[in-house]
Amino acid sequence: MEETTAADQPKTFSAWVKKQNAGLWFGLGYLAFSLLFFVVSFDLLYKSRLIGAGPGMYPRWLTGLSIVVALAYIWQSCHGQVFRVGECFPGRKELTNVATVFLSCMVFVLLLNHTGFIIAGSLLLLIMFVPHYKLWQAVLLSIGISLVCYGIFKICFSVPLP
Amino acid sequence: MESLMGLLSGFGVAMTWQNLLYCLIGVTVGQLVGVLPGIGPTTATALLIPLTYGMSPVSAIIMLSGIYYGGMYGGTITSVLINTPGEAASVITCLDGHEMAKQGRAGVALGVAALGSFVGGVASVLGLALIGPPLADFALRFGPSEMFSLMLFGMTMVVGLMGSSIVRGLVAMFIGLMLSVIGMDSITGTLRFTFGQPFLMNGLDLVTIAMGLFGLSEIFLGMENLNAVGKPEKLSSLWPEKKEMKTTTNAILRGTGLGFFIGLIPGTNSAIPALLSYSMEKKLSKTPEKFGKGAIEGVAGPETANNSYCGGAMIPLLTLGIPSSPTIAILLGAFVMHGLTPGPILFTQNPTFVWGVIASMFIGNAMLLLMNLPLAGWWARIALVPAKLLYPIVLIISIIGAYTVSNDLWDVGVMLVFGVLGYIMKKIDIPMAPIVLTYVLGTMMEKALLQSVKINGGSLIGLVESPISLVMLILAAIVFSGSVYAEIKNKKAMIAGEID
Repeated sequence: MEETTAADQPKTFSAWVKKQNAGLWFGLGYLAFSLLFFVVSFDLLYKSRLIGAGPGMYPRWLTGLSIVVALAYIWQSCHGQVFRVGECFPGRKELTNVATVFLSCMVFVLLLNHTGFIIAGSLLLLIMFVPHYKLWQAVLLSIGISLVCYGIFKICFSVPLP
Repeated sequence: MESLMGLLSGFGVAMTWQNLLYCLIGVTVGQLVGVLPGIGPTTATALLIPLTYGMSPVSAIIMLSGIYYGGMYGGTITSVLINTPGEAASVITCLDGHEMAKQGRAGVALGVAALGSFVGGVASVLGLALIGPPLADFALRFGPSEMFSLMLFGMTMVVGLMGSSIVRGLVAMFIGLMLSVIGMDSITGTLRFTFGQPFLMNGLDLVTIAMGLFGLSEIFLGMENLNAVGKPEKLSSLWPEKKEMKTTTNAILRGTGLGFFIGLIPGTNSAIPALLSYSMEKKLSKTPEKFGKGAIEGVAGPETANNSYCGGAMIPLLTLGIPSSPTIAILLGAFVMHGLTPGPILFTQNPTFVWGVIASMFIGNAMLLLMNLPLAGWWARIALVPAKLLYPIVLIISIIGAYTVSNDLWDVGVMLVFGVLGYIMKKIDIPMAPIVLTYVLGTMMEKALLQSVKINGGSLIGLVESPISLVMLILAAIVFSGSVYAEIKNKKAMIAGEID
């Protein structure tokens, strides 16, 4: 692990995040996932009278080995190639673009069953087009593309879009 | 003789107007996704699977496999003309292809690439037709122990060859394996890891996982930087000079053999034969200093190899039921969805289907040759569609694709989760292909292992008693040890770095 002096200490939350080891955090998440599955695997029978091996045998070995791999990955993340958040993830502007995609998808998921595809789809596209086009262009493009998609998938391919 | 008769009957199936149309749609979509950065053959295949519900199995697989090999052709055009590879296998083509374009020889680069792709594609399909049936006969001897060991070998190849670190490869592999145990156990019917959620009873859907990992994550990455790509270089003559004919032909022949051979190995991907072919051509060349500055062999070899790989990679799928790449894993999902079991019995139980698909690959390659030689410039213009317009369209089509899996928003949510996971994994250099491959293989492996245990009275002895199984286990151990050794010596990172 790299040593840090008092002068190196991050002053803001954003700076603190940028200094974090992304690999380490991913490894911890993966370890938690493996541990959860390992614990749950004990609820399943290890042996079965019918076939010898029960439904829990394979998952228990699998998740046990996964924990070992998770620990090896965490060790490697700290002692091998370190991926700092500030170095491997983009800046604020680029991350906002990425967050916009995620946000538009969430809006779509929340609205689809209430408003139907054309409105939810248009809103999804509008959120993504607005930063890059004039408002009237963004509105026209969003509605147009949603209508075309609806026509193709609902009418041509019989996809039951709401 | 038997293969020839099968192939002739296959042409009878593939030449019906419906199947010709589906083949044309498949190769056109493949070419399109090959041209467009941000959506690859894996996503496109996953996207179109739900739309094939109402189609006959042979038409569906003809169309979906067309996307697979069509993608290899399309990626070349943008690599040469605008220095932007449409898919991973064409990255290496940028080195000399775009240099040739800058020297006013874009037409020659595209002509050679199209011709090489056609030769590689057709030769490998011919290899598939000749090797497939005897290999399928041999594979009939495989019991659960042999299948388990073979899949384990495939898995070690996946981990060993993909990504720059074996530990990161193992992380991806175990994520895929753990996801595969969610849902109902296929042997005992016990619900596992569903956490009381009815949505998880049938496990996670392969299509939504693949669309999230490969499609959505690519959109996230693309949206980071929306800079427009450059203008395409102008096209000139499509044919090489007389003095270049010999080197070009040799590079094409070597690329064909190399690509086909690598396709047979489970766990490889199309970028590997392209890279190896490039290295081989450079080593064999009398003028290696020309590589990177517009060497024609640097285009002909890799482009032939990645297309030849496609035919070779169909062999493990059709004869053993084992996917060798993420797109092939998606194809396997399509087989299952249409009630087909890929593997040795497919040749005997569904010869019309198998030979129909193989014959369609000859036709599809011919269609692609015609599409590429005269229309390359037109295809390159498609790549100039601004990313700020392209990505939202790809996103909404992906969402519809995920929704159609079970007509439920659950699958859209799953795709979103895997999209975010894929984005993070790309940032910290964890390969994603092993997740999809091991997700597919995991279920099959567990089943084979439990069957082997049952046959051997609750013991694992069957895995080492069978000679075939033992050989596979030894090979798996060699590959795994070799990968660990290469990582310690830091060679693996260098190889993977070149592929990346």
